[in-house]
Amino acid sequence: MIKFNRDFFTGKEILFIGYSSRNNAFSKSIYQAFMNNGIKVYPVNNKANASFDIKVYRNLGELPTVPSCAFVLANKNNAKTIVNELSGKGVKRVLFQNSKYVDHDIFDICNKNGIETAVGCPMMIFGNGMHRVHAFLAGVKR
Amino acid sequence: MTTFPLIRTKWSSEHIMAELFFVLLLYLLPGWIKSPSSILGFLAVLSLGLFIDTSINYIRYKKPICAVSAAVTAAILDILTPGIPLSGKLMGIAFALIIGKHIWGGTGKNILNPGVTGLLFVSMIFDIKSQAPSPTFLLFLALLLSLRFITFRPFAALGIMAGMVLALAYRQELSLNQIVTYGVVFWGCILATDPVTVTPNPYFGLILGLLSGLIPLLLGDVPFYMALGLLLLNIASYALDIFSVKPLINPARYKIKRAIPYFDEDKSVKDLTEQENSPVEKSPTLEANEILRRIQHNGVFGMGGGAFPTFQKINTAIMSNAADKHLIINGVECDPGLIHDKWILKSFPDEICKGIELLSKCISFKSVTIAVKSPKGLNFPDNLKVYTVSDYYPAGAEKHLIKEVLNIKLPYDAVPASQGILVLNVQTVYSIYEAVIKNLKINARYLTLANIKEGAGMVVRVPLESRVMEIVNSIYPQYSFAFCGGGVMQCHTATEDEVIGKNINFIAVSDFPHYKESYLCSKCSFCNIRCPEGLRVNKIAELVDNNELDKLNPYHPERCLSCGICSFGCPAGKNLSSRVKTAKEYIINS
Repeated sequence: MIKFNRDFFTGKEILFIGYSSRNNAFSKSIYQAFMNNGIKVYPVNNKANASFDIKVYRNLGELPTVPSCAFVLANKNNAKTIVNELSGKGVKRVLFQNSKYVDHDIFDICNKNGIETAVGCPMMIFGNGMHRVHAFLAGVKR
Repeated sequence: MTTFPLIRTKWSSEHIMAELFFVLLLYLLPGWIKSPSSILGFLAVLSLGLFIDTSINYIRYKKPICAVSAAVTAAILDILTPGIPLSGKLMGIAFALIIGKHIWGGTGKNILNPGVTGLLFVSMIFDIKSQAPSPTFLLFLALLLSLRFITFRPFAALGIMAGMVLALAYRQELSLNQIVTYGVVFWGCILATDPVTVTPNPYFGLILGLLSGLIPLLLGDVPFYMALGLLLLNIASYALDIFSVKPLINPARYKIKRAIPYFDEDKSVKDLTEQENSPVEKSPTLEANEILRRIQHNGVFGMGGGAFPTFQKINTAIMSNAADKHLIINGVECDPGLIHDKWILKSFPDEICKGIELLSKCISFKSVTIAVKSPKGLNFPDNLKVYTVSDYYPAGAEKHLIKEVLNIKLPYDAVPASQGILVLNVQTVYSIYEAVIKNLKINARYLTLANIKEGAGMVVRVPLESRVMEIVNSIYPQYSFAFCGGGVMQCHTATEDEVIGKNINFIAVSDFPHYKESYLCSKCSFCNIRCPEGLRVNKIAELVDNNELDKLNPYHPERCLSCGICSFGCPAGKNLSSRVKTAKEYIINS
């Protein structure tokens, strides 16, 4: 696992796995924070009935291009499948929203496949107000 | 697709409450100077208030919610209950927040003012001598800053202050000192302006405010009566709110500051069509039938955003039985992000005059008017009437423009062309010139390309069906996403494969606007007051959020102009226009 900071997003493109309609305000705030900071986002959600305001891809196969960096906001039980799929598509860096979404087995799989991992909320880097406090307390350099 | 204004008010409910809290601290300041130990008492009341509010909100919403409103309640209670034991104040704040606020569902859902509810409770147990802070020159700033809140409920505030002044006059106690002693400004500007619990209705607000200020002071000068009076005003306001469904008759006119400035240099104009704008050597002489045929054949459409076929619109006006027919050229450009209509008016006066001439061959108009916000820099012949409309948003909406220019009020479902009133966007008239005189297919258009971040904009001529992102990247290659739509007030996020449709006349690069979609609607009613159609926007949005679409009918969401002003000014950061759009679609489809 590497230290989470702004340098994590050097590719200027990111996959957003688990862009949720159920928790739309939260997903949207992260999506907008990436976009406002010049990072193009490719949101992915495999739920067929999800209704979104923005273009959301159903799977990695639909993507016009696969970025080398991904942000995962998905159920822990799906993490293994997601990581294997990302590895197959050549993703080199994966950021997990928080430790609830990942366990040590996943980190091991990522290590074996040469994927760098980090854990942290992107809003700590891009958000203001309480997000700055959160970043300070978590020791994340903005 | 959800549309939203790209620009937003900087004020949020939390900002306003924080400002109110600051003013309340100024009211407390003289007491603190006199007795510094009372600060500790206030901090205890404040801490308990914040704890109760944060805890209940966390249980309710499963996330931390700003508790500044609880701080305001604590401050109000502390101001109104001087001299009582700390235990009484602590009981008061607990009662105020639990019974006065959270039992109803929390911020924005309570029908009683929590602070005044707490005061009523405390005044039933303890003997409270005063209903306002003692008069001192230190209160001057607090009184002055209190006046700012009158804008939230001006009529109720004026009513209660007038009522209190009348009562003091009746008691022969009217003086500046007594006005401060009895807290006329505090009760009027702070307590009667709580948007959650006091009606925005001007007539009822004034009358109910007057009664709730007058009667309690005539009954006696104990705070119990004042608190009871205000709570009765709250209950009456709630009852009124239930029965208020009809659109407002005279909604306010609201001006929005421009998102990008106008420009004068031609260097800010770019043609991406690769078409030559060749001058016409000789205008052909054409009959009305041939003019109409060319308008239809060359596909002229409404360029103001409606995209309605112009031939059909003209034909409707021709078929109209109206005795007097009128032509209005809409160059108002009320959207604060558009600049191309005014540029067209400045750059192509001859072509527009020719277009008007062609239309006049088809229809005998009683009046022809060019409607603009400012005639500065325009060069039209003297015989053509240039009308300057009031500067408000959305002055360019078709029926608003007709009302302004011709003083004719059409029903919301009337088709102006069928009433003999032809309203055409200035670019549509320019297109008529191109389609008829040059006999060109209309396959390109002028639009505004804005950079909201830098406050810059340019006019671009683009081919229809060209990709939005290609246009953006040709001017702003550093941006990976953009917005497009009818104007800065009606945008949506441009998809990768989005093309220039007939209804797109604005493209922008910008940050996403911050719609925080707060749970805490403070019922400020700005959305209702500013809605040009006077719709009860907050009620419509609430019904949509609660999925009670079958109850929408009396609120007439179908009258919505989709101007986006409700989303622009919502302090709770809600994209209200998208909710009204959902309601409108439901009503139209059902």
